[in-house]
Amino acid sequence: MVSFKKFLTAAALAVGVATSAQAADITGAGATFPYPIYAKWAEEYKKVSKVGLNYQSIGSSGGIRQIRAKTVTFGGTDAPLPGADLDKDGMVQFPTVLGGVVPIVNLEGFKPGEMRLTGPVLAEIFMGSISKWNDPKIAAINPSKKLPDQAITVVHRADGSGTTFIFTDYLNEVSKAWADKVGKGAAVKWPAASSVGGKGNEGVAANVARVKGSIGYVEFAYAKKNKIAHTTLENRNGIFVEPDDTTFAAAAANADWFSVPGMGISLVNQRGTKAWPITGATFVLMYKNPADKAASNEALKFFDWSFKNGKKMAEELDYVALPDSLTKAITEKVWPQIAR
Amino acid sequence: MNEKLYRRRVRTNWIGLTLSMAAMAIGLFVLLWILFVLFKNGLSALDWNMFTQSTPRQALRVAVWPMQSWAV
Amino acid sequence: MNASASDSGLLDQKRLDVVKRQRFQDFLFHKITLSFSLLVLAALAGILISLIITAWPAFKKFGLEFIWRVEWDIINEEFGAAIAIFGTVVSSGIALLIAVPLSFGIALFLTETCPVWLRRPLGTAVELLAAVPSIIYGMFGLFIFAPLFAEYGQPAMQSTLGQMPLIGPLFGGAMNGIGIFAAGLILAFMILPFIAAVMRDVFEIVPPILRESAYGVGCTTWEVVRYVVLPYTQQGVIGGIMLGLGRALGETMAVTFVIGNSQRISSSLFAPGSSIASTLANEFGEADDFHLSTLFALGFLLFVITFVVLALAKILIIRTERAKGAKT
Repeated sequence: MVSFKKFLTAAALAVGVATSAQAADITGAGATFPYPIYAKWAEEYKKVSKVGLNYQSIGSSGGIRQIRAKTVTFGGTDAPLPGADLDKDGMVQFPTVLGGVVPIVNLEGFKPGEMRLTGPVLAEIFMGSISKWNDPKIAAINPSKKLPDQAITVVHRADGSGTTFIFTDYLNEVSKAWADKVGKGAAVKWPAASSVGGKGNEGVAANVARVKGSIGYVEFAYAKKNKIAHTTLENRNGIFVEPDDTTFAAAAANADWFSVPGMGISLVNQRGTKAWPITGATFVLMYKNPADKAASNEALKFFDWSFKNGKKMAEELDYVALPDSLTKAITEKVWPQIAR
Repeated sequence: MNEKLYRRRVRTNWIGLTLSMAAMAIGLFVLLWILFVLFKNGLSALDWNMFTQSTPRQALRVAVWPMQSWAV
Repeated sequence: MNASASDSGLLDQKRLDVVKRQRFQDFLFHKITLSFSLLVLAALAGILISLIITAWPAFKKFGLEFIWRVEWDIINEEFGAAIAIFGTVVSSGIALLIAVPLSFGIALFLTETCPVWLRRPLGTAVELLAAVPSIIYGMFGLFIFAPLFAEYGQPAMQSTLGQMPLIGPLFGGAMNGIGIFAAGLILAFMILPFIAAVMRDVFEIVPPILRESAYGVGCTTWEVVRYVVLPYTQQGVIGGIMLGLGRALGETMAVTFVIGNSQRISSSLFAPGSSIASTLANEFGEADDFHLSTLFALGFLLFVITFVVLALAKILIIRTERAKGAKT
């Protein structure tokens, strides 16, 4: 005789098991920068394909670690792996979306886009050699505005991040002093004496918004959404440009993506009258010979769909979708390397 | 003699209690301020949608701009 | 007679059975609870061992001087724990200095001078705050407290305490509302309700007879608290303070928001710094192998610091008990 309690538990288990049976999800982990757009693409993709995406935004290094440990189908990283590492691990790498890093300031009387900076001056500020806002070097580029006699507080990322990688890559290019003293990386030793670290892009934005006289760097979307004053930058052609998707796209327009194995080219300080100097891409890592071919195929189908249908969504979230010529090249040159 | 001792004890009592009350006032003020801010912003941000819809993660927006309007 | 003899025989057998069953149940109970306690010890040992194993490469490379080395360069893989230890110890020290008198005041108020109708609601509010997740304190600190502190608090401190001869430089430098002192303040707010609740509970347990007889011979309120309540509750008070300190030492999110996350030791308390927990929280996600082992080494050092603090507290308690004659 089966007791009523036992019957209830059995029934509950049966229902639980039945409802949990669904199509397997794609798993990915890595960079925080593209998480919003991956999430949006995944949401729309699930509506048409019933396949979901489970992406853990744990940071680029975490993503690289996870894909090397084969615990996820793809890894996301803002800092691309060099070709030698890719060959050693047997992986391919391709970009998925572009974005720009912008310097942001909190200065009385400066609205978004009013402050003008050049690469070398930016490097000196972050090195600590320029420590006050009314320094003659800054005043020289901003002749029309009166700069206050205020100490500069530098805000940087406290955690390791691809945003820092792209930003320091730029400073490396424009300032030899920076390259000698600090270098580029996902986390560096920030030399400025009065410097503060924030956790994540949100942390840097929050700190700049809170501290008067501070300067920091964030992915453009964070500055725009939170209405924090960004600066314009002088690009390689000597023109002060505003950050927006046209200038980011202009930076990528002349890029030769296949000049470096693994497509891990640097997009900072590109030539072009409209090019934004601190542009970067985010990459995806996948195995050439995946252990789970079905999952790998599902992931490729997801990216294919997103490349074709996700452009508008990317724009709404202030990312720059890859141009068609590039996605075609990726589909023809990179994906065939992955065993189906 | 008794009077002097008594007055000293009363004064010590008064000093001790005043300091403690001041400490209490500061402590309670801060704690109640935090509670107040928490309830004011938490309740105002409470939205039926939060429980019924699966809102896509809005990591960019949620982080900073609502809090800028929270400054009390 | 025969019946009574066999009856008592049966009774003995039943009794024996019951006793045997109870002995078995006792045995089971003892062994199960023993195994639970041993499980806790095993978990502690497991954590320690796994910490040491993962941290070993870092200790091997830097040796013992890792503890006082002032350096944190991720690119060149040069690390030292001094910066993080300094931040942790100083911010927790400030937190304790501020929180203990304030919570003492609150506990005293709640037990002695508060009107009875107010006691329950206020007590509940304090306990509610002790249960609030600590990240709320961090958010409160960064978004609401820091700007106000930078605008009013820090200038006031700098113009008064900053002008004094010895401690002056401690309050110098840029005033942007975040830094080690700000972290200490936020930590103080965080452990304040906790210590206050413990103190209040412990003050209330003082037998009314002791209190009333002290009042009866003419003691003032302050004398009652100082000479009757405090000595009676000494162990609980110190225990509560040590628990609060333990929380402050390990606090992660509340500190990460306001400490400034700058890997340097400055002479001013207003300058940004780092604590062990904030360094771990920030750098764990992106750390690769050697960096990871250094972070584990930091975690192990935090373990050691907390253990030392708790051991000191225990020694303090035993010594005062011995002085009182309660222990020999």
